[in-house]
This record gives sequence, C-alpha cells and structure tokens, in this order.
Amino acid sequence: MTDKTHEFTEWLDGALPPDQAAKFEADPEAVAERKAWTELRAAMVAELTRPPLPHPDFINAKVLEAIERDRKPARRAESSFIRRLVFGGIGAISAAAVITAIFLPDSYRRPSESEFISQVISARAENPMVSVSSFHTRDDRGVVIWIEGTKPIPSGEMVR
Amino acid sequence: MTRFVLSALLLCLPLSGALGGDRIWSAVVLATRETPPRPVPAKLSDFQETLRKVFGYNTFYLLGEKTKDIKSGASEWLVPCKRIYMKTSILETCQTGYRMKIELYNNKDLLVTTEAKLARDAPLYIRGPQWGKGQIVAILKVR
Repeated sequence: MTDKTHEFTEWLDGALPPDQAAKFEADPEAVAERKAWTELRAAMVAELTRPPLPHPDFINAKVLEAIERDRKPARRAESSFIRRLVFGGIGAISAAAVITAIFLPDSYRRPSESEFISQVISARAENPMVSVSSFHTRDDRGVVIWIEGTKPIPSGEMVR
Repeated sequence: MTRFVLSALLLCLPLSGALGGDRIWSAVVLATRETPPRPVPAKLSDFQETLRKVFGYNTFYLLGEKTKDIKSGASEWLVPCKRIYMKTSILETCQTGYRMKIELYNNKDLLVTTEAKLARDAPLYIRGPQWGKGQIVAILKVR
C-alpha cells in the first residue's frame, strides 16, 4: 500500500489529523468517493446484520440433539474395540492355560508319594516253568522281581 | 494369536526335557550265607538291609557293576558281568523317574522281561538264578 493510499484510507475512516485531511477535503472527487463509501458501508451494515432467530431455544436444543446423535456411533465403535481387545486377551490366556494343561502336566504337577516308589508294571519269564512275582521293599522305596524255577548256574562256571 | 501359541510352545519345550543328566547303575551281586558274615562292600552298603531282609543272606559279593547315562528312546546293554546282563529301553520319562523295559539275561538265555517304573534312588532288585550255594541278585538304580 502506498503512502497516498494509506492516507486516503485513514481519511475515509476519519483518522487523519485535520492539517493532513484538508487536502482531501478540498478535492471534490475524494469527497464524492467518501460519500459513496459511507453510503455503501451503511447499506452493508443494514443488509448484512444477522436477523434474529425465531425460537432460539428450540433450535439450540435441536442442534444439541444432532451433535449428540453424531457422537454416539464413535462411542459405540470405541467400546466395540475395547470389548474385542478384552475378549482377545481372555482368549489368549485361555489358550495358554489349555496348552499348559496339555503339554506341561508332568513338569508342573506335584508328584504323589507313590511316584517316588519304583513299581513293576508287568513281568514275565520266557520259560513257562519259571514263575515271576514282584513286591515292594520296606526300606528303600524299591521293588523286587522274584523269579522261581530258573536253572541254577553250575558252581564250576564263572559268573564274573 | 498364532504368535502367542508358538511362544507358549517354545516355552514348553525346554521345561518338558528338563530331566536329563540321570544315570542308571546296574550291579550283579552274589548273596551267600557265611559264618562269620563277611563285611559288605562299600558300594552295596545302601542295599544291605534290603538284601538281608528280603533274600535272607548275610554275605554279599559285588560280582560287577556298570553305570550308564540314560538316553531317551535308545536301547542300552548293561553288562555288569559277562554272564548276567540286562537290556534296557526307556519308554517314558516321568517327573520322578523313568518307565522302562528291562530284559535280564543269563548267558544268552532271556530269563525275564519286565516293564517297570524306576523312581530315582529307588532300586529294582531281580532275584536271579542260584550259583553254587549262593543266589545271584541283579540291582538297577536310577541316580
């Protein structure tokens, strides 16, 4: 903006000191232009002023309702995501528990007393004339397989 | 989810195989009655009470012994002495020991086949054949 334009604008707004405004007051074109601008501004103020709203409270209530309606789906989406996250977490923990139950029972289960004692599950002799039985020992949690009827080793033969 | 399952499985693997390092001790003993009784060999001191009470002898000679690492799934020959020996196969590894198949041989004759669960430090005694005036006893123990 040039100095002259700036001064002219200030003069139009009535902000120019009288000694500087004199030159514009003497110019009929400037005066005519100011008159046109003043009329235009008055017309704009008159025309562009917001008309008063009829029933403002009713409209306000409607606007608030519309805003609330728009907010609800977002909340629903958010809660659905949290629900999915919670179910996912529960599912993962359940899966871990199942896997643990399937794969790790022996490692984590506290063994019963009987598991510290040796046991004979089955025993059989090849020779039908030989009998086999088993029983537990009292002192050392051990077990005995008792074979009867085997052929003795001759005392002259070496065992070592 | 898949990643979680795989992680859980990876965690399970080292835990389920944590029973390694066990060894199986086998021995062949000659039990006799002598007057006066002879001292029990040091290696049989843990077994002397049971040997005395169960088999009724007072003197014990250690004819041979063998210790081997326990290998899951493999058959092992335990040969404490030339004539009496055993073949063992691990069938299952348990928290407190092993389920195994054991075959006892006298020379090449299979005397007995047994499936037994051997807990650690809980011996299995097998009454073998007579030898002269004594009795052969085989002992197996997981250590």
